[in-house]
Amino acid sequence: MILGPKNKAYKHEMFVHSKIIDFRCMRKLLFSLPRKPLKISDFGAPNTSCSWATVFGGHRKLYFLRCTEICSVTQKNLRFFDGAEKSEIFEEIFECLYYKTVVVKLLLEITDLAVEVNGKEILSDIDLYINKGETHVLLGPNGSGKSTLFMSILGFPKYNITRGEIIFKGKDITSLSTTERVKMGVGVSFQNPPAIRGVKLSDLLKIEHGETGEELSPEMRKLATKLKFDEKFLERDVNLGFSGGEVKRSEILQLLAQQPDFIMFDEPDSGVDIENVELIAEEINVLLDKDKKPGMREKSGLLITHLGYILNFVNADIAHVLMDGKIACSGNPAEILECIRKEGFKGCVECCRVR
Amino acid sequence: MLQSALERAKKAQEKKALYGKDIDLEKFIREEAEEHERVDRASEVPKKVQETLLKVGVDPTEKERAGTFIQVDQSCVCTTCPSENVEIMGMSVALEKYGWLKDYMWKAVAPDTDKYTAQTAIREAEEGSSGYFIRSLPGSREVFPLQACMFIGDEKVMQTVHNVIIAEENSELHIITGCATGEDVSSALHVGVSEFYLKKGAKITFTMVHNWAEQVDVRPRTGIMVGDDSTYISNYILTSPVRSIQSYPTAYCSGKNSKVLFQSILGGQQDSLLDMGSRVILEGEGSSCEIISRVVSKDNSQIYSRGHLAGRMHDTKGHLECHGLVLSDNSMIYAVPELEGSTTELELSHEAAVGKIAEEEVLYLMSRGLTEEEAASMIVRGFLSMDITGLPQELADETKRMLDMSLKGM
Repeated sequence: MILGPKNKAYKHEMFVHSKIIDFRCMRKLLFSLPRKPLKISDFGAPNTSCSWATVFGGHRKLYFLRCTEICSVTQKNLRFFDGAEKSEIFEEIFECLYYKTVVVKLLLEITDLAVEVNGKEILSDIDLYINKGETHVLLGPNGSGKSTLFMSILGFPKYNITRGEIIFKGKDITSLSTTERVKMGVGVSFQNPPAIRGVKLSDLLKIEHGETGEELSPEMRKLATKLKFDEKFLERDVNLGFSGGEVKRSEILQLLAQQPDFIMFDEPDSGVDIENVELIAEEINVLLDKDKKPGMREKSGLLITHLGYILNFVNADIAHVLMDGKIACSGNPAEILECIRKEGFKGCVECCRVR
Repeated sequence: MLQSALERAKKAQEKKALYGKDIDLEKFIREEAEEHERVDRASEVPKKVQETLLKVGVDPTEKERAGTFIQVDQSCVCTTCPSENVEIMGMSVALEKYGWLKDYMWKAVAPDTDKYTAQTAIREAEEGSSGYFIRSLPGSREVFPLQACMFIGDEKVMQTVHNVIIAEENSELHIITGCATGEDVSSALHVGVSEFYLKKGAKITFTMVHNWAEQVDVRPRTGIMVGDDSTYISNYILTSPVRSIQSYPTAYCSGKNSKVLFQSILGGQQDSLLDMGSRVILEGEGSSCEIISRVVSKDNSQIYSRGHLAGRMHDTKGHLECHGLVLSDNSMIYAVPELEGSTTELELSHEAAVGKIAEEEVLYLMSRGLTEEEAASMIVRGFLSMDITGLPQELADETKRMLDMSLKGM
């Protein structure tokens, strides 16, 4: 196997046995691919819970996501597979994919994740793959498990991972502590962060920015001014008595100090007035390299929003809809949002389930 | 007066204190007052002492200080007083200078309170006075603080001091006091009797940093008489290990509209046994007070945090607040808030909470890259670093620095 550790691929026998991909069908499929995301179940394997790979596509292109690479298959590649044994095909398809297609390094891979909180399963069958430079948005109604997914990626102890794995920068972080994950480059903006008495915002900024001096660096002060914080505000206890907008701006400022490679934003637009949303969005775009060309972007993001308002200001590449603890559908953010606006979450998810 | 104090003291020689473990006074040495050499300025005291002074906020360079008093064991080694608004001197000098001073002795603290006050009174009568006398002149307003340090330099010493602080009418006085022990002292006893008198319209802020050693027992005895329209603010910081300390300063708000604020920051480490309280007797019309304490127990420390508000006059108001964090299973915080209302038209309240560090806060800091230990210690330091109010800006900044320094070891 070229892609990823060999044993890993065979560990997931389900792929072979469940006839996930009938390659003769696939050619046909490629011509008739709908303009919406597809899952493995769309390829004639209704029983599988797509435990290790997600296939989605559109525009006559299929995407195979697994382990550490993202590959795309075009019609041209498929001729290799005609008449071959399935197991051979299995080997070959990846070799082919490896050589013939663009291989992009994945930043975050979540495979077959199931999460329990206080003994109750909140998330299951979560597969989520985020590429370097990509921004994904996680949509879903209240209570669908968005925040749970967020805290699980962050590694908060209450969120017990019962199945699956989280790989970040190619390293399994499933059992790492929050601190270790953050040190690897995971960043987060909380929706309702706790107030900590006696811990000043400037103290935190110094730590996050790796400063050891008595005074906050001019660089950070400049960023603070940009986010409409004056000197006095920086000396306040973090989040203590902050307004909704101040909380969000302080979270963004702390991320600017940290400069993580992968940032999760939990409802960055909730409880914030229009003026502040634009300001926050502007900085989110900076954090996510949106000022660079798509191919040049290094930073990735996962936005959680249930209204999608922030998407008017921050462009996302892929949207996922979370329903009852499962990713019900993935695809173009604008289309999915449009669908949700028209038909609600339920309606949107229904239309994604092409059988 | 002093004669009657001595008689009362003699009767109380064996009287155990109400709180705290009993200490056998016979185990300690009564050193003479001339044991340590006198110097002219604080910068001339031995280097080792100077380093310790800095740790408790006493600046040997005496920059921006109205005056300095340093006592080592039983000897007054240094007094300076560049300011014309205040006086600071050894008690024995003061008693010679002012005949009326004896009328202020043992009025705010009874000599027969317990064996410690008794011992202090007896030694005072037999060996001469030790401790400092501070007085702000009427109508004066000294912005720079006076600094005083009680230092224990010799092994097995029993230091007994008797301080009298008088703020004359409409004067303002700021005092920083630090108490500390030499590094090589492994066992000693400090008994400090302090009597404060605030006349009409006066204000005193008293900021005290304790930095004792693991084998030192400390028994301060403090009484504060607060007159009409006057304000007394006490800031107390203890974060270093000590064998035992027991104190229960009492403020008598007998003046109209008098105000008292006690703020204490206690960090218990190792085998420290801390029994700290603050008591305010509200007996002047319109008087009010606040007692705030932040307590953290680590290692095997046992901390009693007491507070007592007694409302005995109409239109009085008092609030008592004690928040504690228990950080180890072998440590203990015992909060005892007491409210006593014995008249109508008063308002007394208390708020006490003893618990653990909020997990949510730890996780928040961890998600910023701090380790669990770093996060916890940052939260504890934040918890203890309350705002010190009532000080002039510069002194407030300095106190904050002192506090930050004290909290570094937590």
